[in-house]
Amino acid sequence: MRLALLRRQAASSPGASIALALIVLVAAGLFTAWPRLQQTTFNDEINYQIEQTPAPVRALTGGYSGWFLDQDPDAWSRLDASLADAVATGGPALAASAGTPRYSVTSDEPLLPTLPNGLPPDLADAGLRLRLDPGIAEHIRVVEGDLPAPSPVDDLLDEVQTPEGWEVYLDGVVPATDIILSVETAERLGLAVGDVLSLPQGFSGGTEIPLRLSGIFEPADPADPQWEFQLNTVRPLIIDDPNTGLHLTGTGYVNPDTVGWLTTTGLAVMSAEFWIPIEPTTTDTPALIADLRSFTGTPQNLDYSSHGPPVEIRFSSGLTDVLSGATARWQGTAAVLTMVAAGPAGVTFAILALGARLAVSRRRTTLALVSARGGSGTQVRGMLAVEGLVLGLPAAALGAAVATIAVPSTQPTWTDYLLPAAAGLAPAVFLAAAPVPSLRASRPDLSARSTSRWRWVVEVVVLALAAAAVYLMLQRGVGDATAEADPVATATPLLLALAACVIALRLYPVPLRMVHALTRSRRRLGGFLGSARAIREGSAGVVPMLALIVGISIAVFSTTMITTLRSGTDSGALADAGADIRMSGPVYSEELIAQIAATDGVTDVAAVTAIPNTPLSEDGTIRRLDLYAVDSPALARIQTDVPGALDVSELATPDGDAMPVVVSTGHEVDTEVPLGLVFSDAVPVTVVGQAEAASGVAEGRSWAVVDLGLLREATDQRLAPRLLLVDVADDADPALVAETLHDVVSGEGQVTSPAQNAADVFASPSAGSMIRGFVIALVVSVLLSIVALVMTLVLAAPARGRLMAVLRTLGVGPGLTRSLVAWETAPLTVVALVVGTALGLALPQLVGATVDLRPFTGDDAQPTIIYEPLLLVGVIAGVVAILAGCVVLASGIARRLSMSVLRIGDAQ
Amino acid sequence: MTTTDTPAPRADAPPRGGEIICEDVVRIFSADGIEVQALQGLNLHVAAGDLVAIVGASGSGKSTLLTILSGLDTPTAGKASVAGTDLLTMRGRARVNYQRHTVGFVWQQTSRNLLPYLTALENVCLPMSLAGNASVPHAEQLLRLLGVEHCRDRTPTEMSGGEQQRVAIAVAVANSPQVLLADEPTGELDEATSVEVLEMMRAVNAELGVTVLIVTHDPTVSEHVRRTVQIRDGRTSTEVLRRRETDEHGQEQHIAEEFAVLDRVGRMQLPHDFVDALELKDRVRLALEPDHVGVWRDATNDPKPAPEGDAPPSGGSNDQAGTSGADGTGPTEPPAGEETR
Repeated sequence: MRLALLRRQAASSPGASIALALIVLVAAGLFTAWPRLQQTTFNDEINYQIEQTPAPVRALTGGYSGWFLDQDPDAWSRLDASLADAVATGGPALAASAGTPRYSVTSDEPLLPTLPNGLPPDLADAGLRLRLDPGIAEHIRVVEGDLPAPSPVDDLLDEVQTPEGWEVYLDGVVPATDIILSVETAERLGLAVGDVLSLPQGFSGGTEIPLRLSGIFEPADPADPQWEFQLNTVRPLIIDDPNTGLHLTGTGYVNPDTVGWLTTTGLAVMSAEFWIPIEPTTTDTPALIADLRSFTGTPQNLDYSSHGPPVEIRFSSGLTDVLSGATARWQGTAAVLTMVAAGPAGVTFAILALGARLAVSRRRTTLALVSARGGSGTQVRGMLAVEGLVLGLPAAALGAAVATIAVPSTQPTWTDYLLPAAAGLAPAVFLAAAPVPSLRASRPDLSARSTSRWRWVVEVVVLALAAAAVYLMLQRGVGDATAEADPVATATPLLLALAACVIALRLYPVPLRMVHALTRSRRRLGGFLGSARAIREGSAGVVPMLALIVGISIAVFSTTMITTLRSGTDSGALADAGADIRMSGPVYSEELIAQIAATDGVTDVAAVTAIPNTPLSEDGTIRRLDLYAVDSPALARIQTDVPGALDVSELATPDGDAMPVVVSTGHEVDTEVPLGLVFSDAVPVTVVGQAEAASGVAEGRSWAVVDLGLLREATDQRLAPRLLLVDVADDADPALVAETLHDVVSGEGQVTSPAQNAADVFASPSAGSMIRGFVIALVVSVLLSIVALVMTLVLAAPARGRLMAVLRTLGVGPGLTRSLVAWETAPLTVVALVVGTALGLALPQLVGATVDLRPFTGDDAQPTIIYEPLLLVGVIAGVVAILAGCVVLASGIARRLSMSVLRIGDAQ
Repeated sequence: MTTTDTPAPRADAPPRGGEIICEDVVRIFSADGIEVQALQGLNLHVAAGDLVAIVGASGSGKSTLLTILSGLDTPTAGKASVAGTDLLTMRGRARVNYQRHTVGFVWQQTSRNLLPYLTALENVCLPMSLAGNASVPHAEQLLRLLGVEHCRDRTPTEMSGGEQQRVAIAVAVANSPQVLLADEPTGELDEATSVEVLEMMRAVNAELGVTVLIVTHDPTVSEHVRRTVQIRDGRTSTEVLRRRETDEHGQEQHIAEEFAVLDRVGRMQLPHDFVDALELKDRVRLALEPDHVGVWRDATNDPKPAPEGDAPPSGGSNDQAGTSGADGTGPTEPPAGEETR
């Protein structure tokens, strides 16, 4: 019987129940998906950052200086096992992300071989380094010939066990040992497969050690990170010494089992390098950082020798810094996203409360009657709670299940389901907590004042809480270093929205009264009656007002944050690059610079020559700093709008004999004493300025900047620049110009433009997720606003219906309902629009003051908040248009609802 | 002179009805300096098993009284008890029990009495199931008693107004309450149907022995009850008792006698028409006679000197009203003002 009653009651007004269940379904889905999306995006971001980091920087690398060879035939497999073991014990996160450990053993110093065809005429000398790498076969493709065979000398060694016997061989003809070189190295050395070259004997000179070129190779995959670890292997290292000419150093692989030969000949000291690649596949960043820290913090014991003790190798990785940076950057994103999400989440619960109110009001009579007929409070509330549970829990479970399946998570935690569970329980709680209607006639004339007193109390509490939260946030900023959300930061935007709502509800009647005064003199009834109702019935509900304010403020906030971050990122990228286009790498000759300057779209070129570790003498005391010689007049023109640009205006005018110099604040100098830069002669300098940064020119802490022309005069050196800062005409596309310049320098060196860097920053998952988060929050809050408005219209329908019934009997046409409905929503929307816009404009200032956005923009300075009025107006207009459309639609439904109640004096 | 109906409960069956006692009941609604005294020391005594109507104009306090008696509201002061339950101290659990087992009620609007989505039978079962003892046979029996067994499986929208109110009475007495309260039960019904419903209430009163209190502004209702109490300005003012008498010719006659209500300390309200007719104002003169009390207009300020006829009692005692009977139950003569002139 009770169940049947429950069922009948639930079925009697299904609209509110269905609405509640739907809201719970969507809310639970979003609440479940949000943290999972955040987690996934965080992992994506980290992996993106790992991927963006060059392989040698992100890998764990270590080295062993000194003899690292053992004649034991098992030595390499022991080393493999030992490395694998070290990785396996390095922690699960590390083991999951680590690739196969690699190592090679290379001669420290290049040997100078005698080439069969003589030294090529363009080379001053040619050196050769020998390398053993048991795993190299996988990474190379032998173009001609074969992989090197084990040295025949090793077989001989087995036969001749005594040094004396060995001496005999050395005196005679030693069989040649195989070596394989890259195609380019062999070509540069003028060698062909089968050629024999000889190395000078390491020990007692005299006899030369022959090497036979057994084959030539190409990299199996030119993009293989292997070649980033083993530089100068595919192509020989060629050093251009202006005085002596070109010095070449090539690297060749001998058979990894050629240990005996190397030991006996004593050709060179063989040192080892190890690298463990880290793949961008991590799912647990904090664990990976911890594992990396502990792996690099303690030396790893590697065992390879059968008789010696294990060697201790210290590994290092640039990845910990990259990951810490990425984590910091993500925290900025997460903090902003959480602040954005808090509003709609709060509104969702407010709407569930409104929906519960709606459900209770729809069955007012029933509940009052049941309660008067002897239904105890427990029975009535219990009934409502059960109904709430029946509505909420399956909906929440379904929503959470769909979200769980749709958004895979690698680290699901039960805490992710707390909010969806709360959403599932909310209808039960709100329904059970709703005041049970009574049959006793209420006396609103006698109770109005006491509720208004409570309203004051609540309002003051909300305002005080909002103020306290803002104060707290400004005082201590947003909590850092933890992945957990800061509760104060999360709650502040919602509290601010509530405070704004409170103020809006208080201010709301003021303009309405003016409108009302205006409409009083007009002939039309709609405006007069509508404004009178809006003022006197206090129909402006807290929930729709809150929903609208949150929705509009999110629209404004998101737009402003995106413009701000974009502009911050642009300026950060520009500060990084120092100019519209930055070219670096090879030596740029005067002709090349002239050619670049003559390229279409290029307006100016400034050359920068870096002279690292230049001694600066302070009254005889010498400290070294990095000296940058710049084309100062050109640089001044190029960097007019670059943030953090150095003031170079005084650099080109010498002060007597002394050359003007700007020194970094990181390198304090005593300007009272004679200063001089020490080249072959000392060049006296005078400090004309100190600066913290020189965008695009100087890096590090200790540096000085001088004028390039003056320095050339003073030192009489050519000082060829390796860095060019290029200014692009305003009407030219930097990307296109950069492409042209890339061709001008025939692909040598790097040509980058900040616009490209900025695009890279926005291509990262965290930036993408921030924009997606904004969009989701905006869509959800607009939906919530619509739901809130519709619910308010439906809640007000009986009263409106009674009013219409009275008016219809007085001869008013049915069209007035439209006007009444419009008056129920329009003033609310207009006030919410004003207050929400104000809140949305203020929130970015709060974020800018509390959340560190620098890791996000890559700039040294916190970005300034940029408001773009046109864009903001456009976005607000869009939101308003959608709201208006939906309200018009809802009014249609609400009109129907009003029409259905035409009996005056029926149950309230 | 035989009295077919007596105000007292029937002697053969022990009354199942409960006694309603209100003494100096005060209900004040107050908020922020506004005070509205809806009941100003109301006295009412309804004997167990009695059938009483309360009439009064709008704002006289009759609805407030009914709300208090139904347990939805609590009096501010005074003494009120229904079937032994003190309404002033009743809280929480006791209130629920009171509403389940002691009182049942029928409201004016049919929509307030019945749940629209339940059938008549289910509506009758509802209060029983709330109390935890639903019994379909009992519900059917009640529907039969009220003559609406044909509505058993109909929802309220499928019934006529009279049928709805009859079902509502069945709902009200479903848990066998001791008191049945009805608020304008005929307010929305035509005359014929009203008579039907009132007769049903009489039947319920007779069959089940339940005390019935009907609040109405409809003067015709009082024709169907033994006792009608009039409320004015938050107090009971007058009562009308009806009885049927068979006269010497064997003809049955309806006799209605009107009484003024006298409270414990002897206060009494004079009916408005009496006061108007004699232009009584500010004070009256009283005189105690052997079998009645005389009330005279205070003529000290009149241009004419004292009236002829009965000598008025010496002045000085006119700030107090008195009656001749030692107790309030004795038959009171029509108010003395009628005798003047």
